[in-house]
Amino acid sequence: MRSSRRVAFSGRTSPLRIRLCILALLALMGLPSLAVAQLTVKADRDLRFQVVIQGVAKYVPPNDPVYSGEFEFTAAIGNQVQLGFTLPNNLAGPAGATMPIAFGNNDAIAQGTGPTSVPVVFNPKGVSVFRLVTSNRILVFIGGTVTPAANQRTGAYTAPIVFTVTIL
Amino acid sequence: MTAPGLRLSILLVSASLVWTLRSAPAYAQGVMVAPHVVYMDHRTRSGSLTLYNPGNDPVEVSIETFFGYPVTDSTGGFELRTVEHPDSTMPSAAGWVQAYPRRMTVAPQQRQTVRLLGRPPANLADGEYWARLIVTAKGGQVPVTGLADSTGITVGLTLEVRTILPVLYRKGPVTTGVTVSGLRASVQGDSLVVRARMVRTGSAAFVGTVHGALVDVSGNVVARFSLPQAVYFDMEPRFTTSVAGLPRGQYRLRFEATSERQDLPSEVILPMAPVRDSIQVALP
Repeated sequence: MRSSRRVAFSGRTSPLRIRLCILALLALMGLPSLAVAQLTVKADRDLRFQVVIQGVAKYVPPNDPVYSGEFEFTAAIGNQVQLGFTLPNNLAGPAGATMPIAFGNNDAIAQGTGPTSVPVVFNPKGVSVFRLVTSNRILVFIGGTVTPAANQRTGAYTAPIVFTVTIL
Repeated sequence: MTAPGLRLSILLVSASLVWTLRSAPAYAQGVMVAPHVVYMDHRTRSGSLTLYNPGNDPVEVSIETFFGYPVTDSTGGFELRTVEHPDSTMPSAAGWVQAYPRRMTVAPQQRQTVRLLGRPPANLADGEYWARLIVTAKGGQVPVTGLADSTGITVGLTLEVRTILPVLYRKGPVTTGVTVSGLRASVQGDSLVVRARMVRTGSAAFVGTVHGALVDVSGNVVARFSLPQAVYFDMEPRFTTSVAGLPRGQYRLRFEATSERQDLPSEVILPMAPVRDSIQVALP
């Protein structure tokens, strides 16, 4: 059998050429290829509190479909990844004004996109390790609480949240 | 293969790669990084990384290096141990692997190749040296939006992303292996929790796969796991597999570490004889 295959692929069409063409076709079909083993990390949606009122704390839960922060990463099935956030304690506002922001122990959710994936609530203040088992695309949501002072200066307040994905 | 045939095939592969990347849906800020593990060789002292911006806005990207490797904690969970100032006993390449460019702006739906260049000390001994690359991607400043009202206070937090991936630099002949000891298993809920101490041998990290199989008295495999695993020094990882619905009784757990990896090209895999161990397991 083996030798007959060699014969069939000899001559004008070499096995290497066949393999390369098959690889190209597989890639064109969108099938995974070792040549493009990759990791994608991106931020899909900023965490937004919109308008807040002086003296009134405002909480955006991580499962808020509109205002929670949303990240996404894609890696190979079986990969083990460590997720971590660099979180601010204060938001920077106009003329040096600041506003406290806090993140609770349940303010982050990781959600796989496989048919059997279940959401995992985790603490955004620590690092969490996940192994990709059934889904290679994971959505990560984050919420938080801002506490404007009664005499909070008006204006726009902001700060960055850094999401880090480490291949272990 | 003839040269024109080879060129045609390479062209097809390249075109398919571009097509695959371009066919990705439009995203917000972030980058796609390939490969997810970078191997460098002392003969060329170079490597490369491809970044792709799948979004509709430019992304500012910066690249830094540091030294770190995965370890396990007392529960078998994984974490990255970072060493800010590795001493001479640590196989760190963080100080002499450099990325070019280190800062760049990747236009929407465009690719950027980053060259990695090794500038090791002249007396570098044969072996494998490690570093970690931090790829930080930041979009343009997102305006804080909100409805205007009497308070006039609006709040929004911008998001940045970082990708940390390993770089392995090899000089001369390198070997790897792993020893397995202290294999044990316990039932927790509907899962079998497996722990084993794994110690790397040879001069390079063990990058392979761990297989576990639970076998009943008739020789049937009733549960299994197969997971990529890297051991840089030593660790005692925790593996789990579901045993829900399995009848009580005696089983045998077969544990095997092999050098195969589905997510890495075969030319970077260091061959190694499989390492096996097994124990009896009683399911209550």
